[in-house]
Amino acid sequence: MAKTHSTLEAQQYHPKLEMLKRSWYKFSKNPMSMIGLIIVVLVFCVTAFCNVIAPFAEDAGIITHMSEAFQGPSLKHLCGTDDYGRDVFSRMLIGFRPSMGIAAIVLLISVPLGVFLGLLAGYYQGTLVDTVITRITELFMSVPPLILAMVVCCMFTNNYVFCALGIAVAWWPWYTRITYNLVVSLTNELYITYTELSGIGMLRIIFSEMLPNLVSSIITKMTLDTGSIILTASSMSYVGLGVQPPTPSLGSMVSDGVSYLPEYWWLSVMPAVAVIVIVMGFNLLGDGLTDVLSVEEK
Amino acid sequence: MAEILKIENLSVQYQVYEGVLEVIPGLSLHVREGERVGLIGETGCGKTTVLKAAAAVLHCPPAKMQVDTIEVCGMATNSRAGVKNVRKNVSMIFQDPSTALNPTLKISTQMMDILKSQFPKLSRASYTEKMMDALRSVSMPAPERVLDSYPIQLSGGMRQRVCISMALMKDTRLIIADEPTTALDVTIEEQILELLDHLVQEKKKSLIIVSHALGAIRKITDYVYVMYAGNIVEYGTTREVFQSPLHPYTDGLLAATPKLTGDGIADGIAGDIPRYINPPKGCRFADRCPRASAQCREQAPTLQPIGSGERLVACFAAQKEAKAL
Amino acid sequence: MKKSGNMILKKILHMVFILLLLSLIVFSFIRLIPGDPVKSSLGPLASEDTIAQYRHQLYFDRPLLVQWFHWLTGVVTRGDFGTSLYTHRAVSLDIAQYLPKSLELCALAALLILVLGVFFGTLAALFKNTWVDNLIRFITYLGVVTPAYAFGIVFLLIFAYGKGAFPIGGFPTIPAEFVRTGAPALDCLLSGQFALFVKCMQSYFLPCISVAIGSIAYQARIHRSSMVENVNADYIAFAEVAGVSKGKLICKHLMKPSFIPTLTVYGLQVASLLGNAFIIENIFRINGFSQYALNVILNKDPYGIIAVTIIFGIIFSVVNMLVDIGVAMLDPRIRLRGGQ
Repeated sequence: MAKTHSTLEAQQYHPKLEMLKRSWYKFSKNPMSMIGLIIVVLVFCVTAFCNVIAPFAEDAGIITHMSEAFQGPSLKHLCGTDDYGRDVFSRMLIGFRPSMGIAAIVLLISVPLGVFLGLLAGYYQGTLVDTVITRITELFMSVPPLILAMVVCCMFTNNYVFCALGIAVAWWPWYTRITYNLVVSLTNELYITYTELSGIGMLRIIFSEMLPNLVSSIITKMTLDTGSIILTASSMSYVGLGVQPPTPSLGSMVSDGVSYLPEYWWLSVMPAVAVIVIVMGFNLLGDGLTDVLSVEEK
Repeated sequence: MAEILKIENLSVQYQVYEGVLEVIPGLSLHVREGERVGLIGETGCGKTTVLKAAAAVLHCPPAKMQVDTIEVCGMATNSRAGVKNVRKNVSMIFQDPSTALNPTLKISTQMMDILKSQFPKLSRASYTEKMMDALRSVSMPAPERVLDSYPIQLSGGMRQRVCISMALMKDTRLIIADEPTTALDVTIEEQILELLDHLVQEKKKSLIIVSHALGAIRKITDYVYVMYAGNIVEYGTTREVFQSPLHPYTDGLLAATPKLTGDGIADGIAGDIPRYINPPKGCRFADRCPRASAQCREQAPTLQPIGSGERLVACFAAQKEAKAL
Repeated sequence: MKKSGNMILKKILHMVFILLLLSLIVFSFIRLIPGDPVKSSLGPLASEDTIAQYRHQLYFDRPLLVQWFHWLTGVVTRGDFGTSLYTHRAVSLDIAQYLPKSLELCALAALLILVLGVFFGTLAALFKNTWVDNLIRFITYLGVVTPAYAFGIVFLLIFAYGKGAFPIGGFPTIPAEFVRTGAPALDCLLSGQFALFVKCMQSYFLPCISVAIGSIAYQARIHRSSMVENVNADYIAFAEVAGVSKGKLICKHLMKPSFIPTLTVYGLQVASLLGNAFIIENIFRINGFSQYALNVILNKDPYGIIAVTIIFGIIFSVVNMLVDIGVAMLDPRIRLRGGQ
């Protein structure tokens, strides 16, 4: 009897925890989402400890071992060695760091900025503020993102911080748009009107009613976007924008290897596969989150 | 009289994220030539599913359907020819006219495609004439303008009239109407139901109708099925069922309707329809039933004939009472 | 009719406004570039005088707005985009030389995205939950997560030494008398050289596929899900019961509403296509506009950068406008609301 009582009480006490448990249960039942989660966790681990994990961490620099150049994949060199005899596998693992770093910088800039402007425009719907913000977003959306990012990156210094800045410049309008659309659709819903009628301030409405809705869609979008940003950054580093040699980055490793195709295929195929796996991990995780969160909404 | 629609032992399951929903465990019903049959019950008890299965548009995933027979005009529907037969003999009116019309096509286009399937080779003028006739038959004002409109340019009532006219354009023997007035204004409800009734009687069609407007059901149907949580719990002529309901659920349902002469607020039935995942093994109504016994929770009652007429009920208490009489 | 004409006019004006704003922003950005692009373009040996003269000639010593206005009048009246500091000739000449080929490549790829995306999406939706659907879904998932250069490399590897029908890199030379627009395939068509046209198309094949494949995959996924969603809509069941024939049901009643989301994301796919063209032109050694744009950007050539941004902006905005008009044509809900 006492036991039933306490579980009941626990359930009443932590409705959010219960919901989280439910979501996790649904999420974990989908093997694809779990694969995504595992890949993402692994990617984070590699990013954090690449210096320790990489068997030849010193190969990230300008070291050369000419005697070992162009060795195929083997147990010692899992993904072979490159034209300077450096271990491709180690360089790949170390190349995760700038990719993830760029994704982090882009999201750190574009999410707060985008969401803030979106909330602002949504809050002052139909006023000058709304118009100005909407026009600015349209302005930044009028050029394909990759081109905008390239221009911004090149105009200043061609390194990976400015590469990230460039992508961020092209990225934030999407968050503004999502937030704005969410705020508009939510304010049109009746319950917000009711809350408004009941005399609670608009700001409080935004924070208590909209933020939870917003957070779930922003988190999903962030997960999916991490994949796209890594893809974009690797495309940029493929043409030499972003991380500068000798620091390895996945995109530039692929492009450096192209001239040795097809004999020394591992030079470009291995890092390309790494990009595909990382992006797929984030996409699978994002899709899984979308499933769980949208079911929750129903 | 010949049976226009016969469903025997239909069971439908939905596979969803949480598990299997046993929406309909095993249901049989029939509509005979010229009969107007009502199907009543709370929202969410599987009425639409039954109707869709009858019209052969219950698409298999997500639903998993098993059935002994569904016959339309004496022909099973589980073959290509059977489906063709259904299309020839059955039309259906949907619950929500705002989703039943294609939002991207003009009314004229949608009506035209239906006409073309029935009369493949006619002149443009006679197609238009037929469409105008169909719209006039549902007393639609300004039919030319309606033909040239998209669904969003019409009001809810007008859309449902369009739907009815489209359903009646084919010369079918059975009309299936799935809550034709639920999405409409109360003021239009009566008009639409009267219109439907009038057209059905005029053209001597059979009708199976689901509606929450019990008053209307009482007025326009000959027989009525009462459904609860995927089961038929009572069947009889409309007059008998409404006058002396046998199943406690029917009792509650009728009592829940506000009466003009009654005083105070109508009684509802306490509780909710049981969840369809792992439904109770006994009577599905037992938890809400004022007359439930231990037997009701252990064993599911089956439909048994009561008295001499065509009266069926699935309730141990009612069956015992009838035996005692 | 008049209503939709008004809508299109409004959209064009809006587009022009945004593009003007864009050029102004890029101008101010360029002024912010650390270092002097004019000075670095003339090399270390140039005298102060020459630099000052060149600066004056390029309006770099005037206020931002004056420079912008001068550039704008040049563009509008003479189609003159200024002088490139990288090629040391009129940017408009560079554009005329490089753009047509890239435009042709992108147009072909854009067509491919729409046709193949819709085709595979429809196929998957019609055979939902069969092996066809599963196969298409698996492949399209891979297509979405794979970078364009990886496809380029795969095609390079596959076709590298095969002397097959699809050459990698390079186009057949078009004799000078046939050149009219600068776009190889179009020129061949215009001058009736069909054998050469086929050769051009063969050369386009691999770069086109590599540029488009990711977007084809994305488009197919969107189209599949929108069709699957609409199959369960009441209006399809209603039309089915009412006896509309199967072919018409799929091709008309189901396809038309399903196209709305497909077309909506199409604009974005064109954006990613324009981006991918940078990489693919590089891999297949097509000396096109993306390659030129990349060089201009890397060399910080002010007028070049402005021209490149504006041209990509124009292409992208025009595509988006066409997409908007297309969606409005498909969806009376948008068209009628837009008219109000």
